[in-house]
Amino acid sequence: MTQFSISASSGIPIYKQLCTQIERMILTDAFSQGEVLPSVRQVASELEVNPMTVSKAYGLLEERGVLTRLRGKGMAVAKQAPEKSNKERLLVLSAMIDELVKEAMLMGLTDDELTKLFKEKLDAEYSLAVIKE
Amino acid sequence: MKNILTYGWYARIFIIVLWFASLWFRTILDFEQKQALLVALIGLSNLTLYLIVAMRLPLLTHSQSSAVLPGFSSQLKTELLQILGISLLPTLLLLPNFWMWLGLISIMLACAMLMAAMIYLPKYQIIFFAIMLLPISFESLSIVVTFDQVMSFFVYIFPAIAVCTWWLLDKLVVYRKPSKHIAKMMLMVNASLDRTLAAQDHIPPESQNIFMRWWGNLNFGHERKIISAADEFQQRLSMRKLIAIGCHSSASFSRYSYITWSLATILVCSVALTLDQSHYAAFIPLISIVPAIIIGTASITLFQMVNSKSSYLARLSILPRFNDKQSFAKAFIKYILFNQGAIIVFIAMLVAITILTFEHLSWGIYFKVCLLAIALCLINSALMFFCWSNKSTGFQKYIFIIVFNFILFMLLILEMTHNGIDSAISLSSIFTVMLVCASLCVYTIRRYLHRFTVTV
Amino acid sequence: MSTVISIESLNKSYDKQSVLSGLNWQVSQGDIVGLLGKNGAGKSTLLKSLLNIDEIDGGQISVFDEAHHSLSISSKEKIGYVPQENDEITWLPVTDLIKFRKQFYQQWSDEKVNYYLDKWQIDTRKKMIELSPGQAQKVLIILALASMPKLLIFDEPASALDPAGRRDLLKELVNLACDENITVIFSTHITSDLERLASKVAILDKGKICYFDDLDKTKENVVQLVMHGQQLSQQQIPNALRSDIKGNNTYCVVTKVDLIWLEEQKQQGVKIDIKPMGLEDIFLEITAS
Repeated sequence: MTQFSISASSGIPIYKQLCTQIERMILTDAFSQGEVLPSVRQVASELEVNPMTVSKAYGLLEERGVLTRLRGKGMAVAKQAPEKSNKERLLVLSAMIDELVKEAMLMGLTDDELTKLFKEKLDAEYSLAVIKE
Repeated sequence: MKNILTYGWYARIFIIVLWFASLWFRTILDFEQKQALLVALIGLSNLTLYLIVAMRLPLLTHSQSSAVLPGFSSQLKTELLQILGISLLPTLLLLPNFWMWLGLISIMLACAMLMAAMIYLPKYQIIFFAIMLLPISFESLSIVVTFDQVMSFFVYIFPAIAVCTWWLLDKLVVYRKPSKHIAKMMLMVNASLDRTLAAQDHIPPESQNIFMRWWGNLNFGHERKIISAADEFQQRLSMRKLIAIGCHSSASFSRYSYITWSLATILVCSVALTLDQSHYAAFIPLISIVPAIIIGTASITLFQMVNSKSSYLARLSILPRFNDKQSFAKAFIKYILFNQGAIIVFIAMLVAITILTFEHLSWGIYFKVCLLAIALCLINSALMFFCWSNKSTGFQKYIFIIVFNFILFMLLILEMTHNGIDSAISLSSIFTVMLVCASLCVYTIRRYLHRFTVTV
Repeated sequence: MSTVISIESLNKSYDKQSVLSGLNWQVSQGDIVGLLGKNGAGKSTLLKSLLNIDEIDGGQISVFDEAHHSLSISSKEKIGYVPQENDEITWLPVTDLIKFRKQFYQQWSDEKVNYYLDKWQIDTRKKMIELSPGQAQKVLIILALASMPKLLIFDEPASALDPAGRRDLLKELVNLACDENITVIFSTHITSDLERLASKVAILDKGKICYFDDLDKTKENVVQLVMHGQQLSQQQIPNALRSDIKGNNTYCVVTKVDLIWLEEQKQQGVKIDIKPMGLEDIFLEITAS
């Protein structure tokens, strides 16, 4: 069973947290295309959240075309064109980078310092991937 | 600290009233005649005081602050000495008779020590029982002890008692043992500090003593049987019965209280039958006061029980079993009247049995006493319903009035049985009183019901 | 959705001290409402008033479209209430207490009772007084659930429970909300109990329901604005609850972001950050002052 995790006390509504998480999990292939998601009841009971919250998240993702409703089976990951998916990946990332840049500005980091750090991290991650292979 | 040690207004008032009564007797009565009465009054008031103080003492000696606060024990000692000093002031009333005064002080000190010892170490309770049995054993051994002899004895041992008290007081204020027994004790005292009797039901069973546990199980067993039987046979208990179960507590007058009192009465009567008639005079105060106490305390207990359960009853009143609050209120009125009526009938029967045995009252007086008891119950019920028909929750003043009624009733009964006055209170005046009480009761019940009328 | 509870200009005072004054409130079917309020705000009083446990001084309350003081028996069967304090009969063993309570109902599910007794591992031979506070609380909850209510009212349900017991209870409420379309109102002063479960949040303050909205909407609407390099007074910001000026920046909590105003500010070159707030902060902001 896939584990979602939410933070109830954060200011972001739980259904939004679920949406972003499911989207991210689809993008990172934690959910493959066509895979059936756990039922509303399962998720609600596991996270101890109101089932309406879970349905709301599922409904929203269905509207966006990320999920499709299967009759009698629940929700499944929609089959999407890969290039569109790539675009969305960048969209999600860009939101995260926004946050990062904001923080860096507040800390008073310069552009150079930030880019250098980003490159370093990227290299480290890349070399790790190589070792794994 | 004094406030904690003498907590509770009823006890305080009781003691002060007794002191004033002795002062009053001292001024108006012939001194020589009433010395014994004075000694008895002062003795009773002070014994009550010592018992209360002794019971509250563990709260202080075994409190956490006693170990932490500097000078706690010396302060406790001064406070105790002050209370002792104040309690000995009324004995000054005996003063022209120096001999008796010294004797009484000596007895009081000895009693104070005994009380404290009994509370802290239950094994000393045996001394108490031994003292209680002393007069009987003297009687059976035909040793004649006069009042003056007892007094002289205590006067002679006064120095010993005084030294002993001082020494024990020093020990007591730093006494910290036996903690387990005291912990139990404190739980009970805390319950008694609570204004309601219901607190007794909140003492966990493991902290109750064997007798309390046994009585509790016995007392509640009947109610539990009723519930189980009703459930098994799919019966619906009457609304009155349901409210009765809801209000039941270890302090209420249950089926086993009835049985116990009946057995006790039969025992007293059968003992009396084996004795010579000349001894009957000793029984008369007992058999006239005890029924009066039962009737009086039954109303107070009922009132306090219901008050402590008021939130629970309010919660029950909205359950589907009751059509509306009116039907709940009607069932509740039935419960109260039934409860009071049952006790009156029961006591009337008990007293009838004692009259058959002792023949201490004429049937005419018996009838009057019964009517007066009914009047007492009616006026008490009227007070209770008046209290419950008000929206405000204060009920202390009503308890006070009920206690006052009760004392009045006791004095009346004592007077009637002592002097056997038949003429002092005529039947017609009793009927008038009854009528007034009954109409008051009806009025307050209507007022109580009116509180729950829905005004659309 | 139909309205389950409707309260109009409710007044209630204790000993001449006003607790609720002119309170209005509507709860729809299927809502799971968290009633927030400071200690002594009158949460218990409100719940007891609408259940007709306490008499009210004025106003109209209807429950299931019937006046609350003359509910039909069938409507009464549909209400379950768990009080804040355990005032149940102390000397009855759990099994007898359940039988006793059953006497008051026509509709009663023994299966449900046994299911929960089993699930929460309650020793039914024990007397109420011998149970731990948490266990006693659970018995009270079982008593409330046994009549299969459609409206459940909890007064501080988690006050006597440890964190694990709290989770258990919340989980059970989730299941109930899934299976049966029940309406739940629970009062609390602990916001974290409410955040997972409630669909709506009501805030009781100064004798009135001063805020009542979807929990999600609340979190989306009530936010903190940070205006960099700007010093604005509270009057200049629409829907402002409170604003603070620290250094060059203005920090302001608003009940709703005015998008047109935001756009205007952006065009004037003002840099504005929108920061979401947790429910606890939102509650404190709304009831402050």
